[in-house]
Amino acid sequence: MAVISREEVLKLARISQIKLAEDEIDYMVQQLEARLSYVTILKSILEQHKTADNAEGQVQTLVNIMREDVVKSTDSEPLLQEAPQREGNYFVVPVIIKQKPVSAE
Amino acid sequence: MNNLAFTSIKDLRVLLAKKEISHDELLNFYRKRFEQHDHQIKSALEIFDAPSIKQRACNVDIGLLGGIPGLIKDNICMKGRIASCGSRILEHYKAPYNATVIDRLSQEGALFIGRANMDEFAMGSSTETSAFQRTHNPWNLTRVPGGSSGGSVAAVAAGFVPWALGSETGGSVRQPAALCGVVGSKPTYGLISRYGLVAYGSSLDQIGIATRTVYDNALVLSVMAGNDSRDATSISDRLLQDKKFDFTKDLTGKIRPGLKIGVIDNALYAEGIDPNIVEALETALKELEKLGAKIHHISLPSMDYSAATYFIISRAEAASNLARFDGVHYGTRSKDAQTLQEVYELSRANGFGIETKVRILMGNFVLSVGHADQYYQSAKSVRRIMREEFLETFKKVDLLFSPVSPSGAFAFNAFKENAVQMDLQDYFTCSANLVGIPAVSVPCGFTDEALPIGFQLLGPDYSESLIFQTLHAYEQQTPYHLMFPNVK
Repeated sequence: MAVISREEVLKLARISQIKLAEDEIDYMVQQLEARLSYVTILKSILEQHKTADNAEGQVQTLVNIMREDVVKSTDSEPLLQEAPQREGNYFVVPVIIKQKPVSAE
Repeated sequence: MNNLAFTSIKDLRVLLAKKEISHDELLNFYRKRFEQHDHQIKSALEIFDAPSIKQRACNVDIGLLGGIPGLIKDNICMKGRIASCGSRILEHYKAPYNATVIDRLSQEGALFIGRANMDEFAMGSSTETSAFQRTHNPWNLTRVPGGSSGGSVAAVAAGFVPWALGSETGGSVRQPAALCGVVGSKPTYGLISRYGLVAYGSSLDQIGIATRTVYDNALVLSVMAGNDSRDATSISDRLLQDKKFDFTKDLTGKIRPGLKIGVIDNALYAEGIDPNIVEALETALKELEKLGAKIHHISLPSMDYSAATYFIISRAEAASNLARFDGVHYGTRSKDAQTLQEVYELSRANGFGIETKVRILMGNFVLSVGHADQYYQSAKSVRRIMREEFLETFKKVDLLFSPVSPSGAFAFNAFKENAVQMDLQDYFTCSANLVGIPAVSVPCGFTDEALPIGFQLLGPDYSESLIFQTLHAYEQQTPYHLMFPNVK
């Protein structure tokens, strides 16, 4: 158990939206393997408590906080100022949909 | 004047009230301390200019922390100031708003002198993962200060500021506090608002405080504690919600009659713990006994599983929280990106350090289909078992006693070849975060290599007053809060 392949790491990197450099991939395999092996010790405590109700649950007695849905206006300018690239009130990103050249008929 | 460097907040307030020193003199004194000495410690990422510090100040003449400067960990937002989280991806990010704690401290006259170095996104136990600089332990410059709040704690230990804010996810204030010989607190989950604290593991995160005395720690906490409507996990108990907290009022120098302290034997006598630590902690126990505490030896079997549980839960939450860094809304964007996908993948690849990447990938692994049951759900179940075990134990004893770190401060790169060992630095601390209870670490001696040692007391939810009272009484009987490193 807890052996992780290079392919799995590459898949995880895709899910995580992080492009790994070549030398990072092997390092990542090794790091994840070490940690995933360590955490297998949890099995034994769960075995011991098998009779107990192991249903997941909030650790603390947190309750939902309800409030009125009141509209508050916020100045978006300070937030937009932090954008790496903006135009007016928009965040700029590279072109997503490329236009097909219109064929002259 | 050098004595001023290590003067407590309590005594500074007297000096200021008697006008033996002015607010300006005090601020300039600390700014100069950083200027002259921080080139060796490297605790701060930035020290602000005096006019901009003063411009933000209010109530300096009447507030509980009036005119007393502190250093702020770089993951706590101060409007218009950079909040880099020790990461390249936020290197130039200026917070558009104040964290609630910043507003509360401001209301009581506190000054914010600068930004403290930290492990990237608070992920580490040595402050070595900071993208910007390595912080050195003021007691021995070849050693780490601990982490992730290493900058905050080192600055307090070096006498650059009397207080600093850190944050805890698995022990990030208490561990450096122990390694640097100061007081470090992790309050009950929800006691301090997390609004404006950059999230790492949201169900674990809590702002913590570093000071040189127990009284000072209790005072700063009193200012920050309380309900905040902008943090849905902040205390909602009606009895506590509108309470004005004063954690200093029970600090009489005595402990509560009949106080029962449970020594966590499987922690104190854990495999691999430095004998120096055991010896110092046994001496501390004798001191607590002399003060009237009844010592019980107990075992908390679930604590042995806390680090593994913490690995999974903290990484899972980190992967979710750090998904927001996309190179679009804020933070740095890769200049090489041609497509939107590349904006994400390259901005994150260039912006995050390797430790952060490892944690994000591990988080997504334990949450992914096919693995979530085995890892994430298991960890959540164990977390609940732990909480129940701790609460059950608090029916028998009032407080728990435990080591903080298995050794004194370690050397740079000590765990380069064995990163799991670095992660296990959280072994004694992360259960308080998992269970949600308060814990405070205080200095209690030195190793043979003259490195500070600390112990911690843990208590049930909202038992901060009792913890502080006990530790204050201990502190009054011991010299460690009056011993300071020789910072040249």
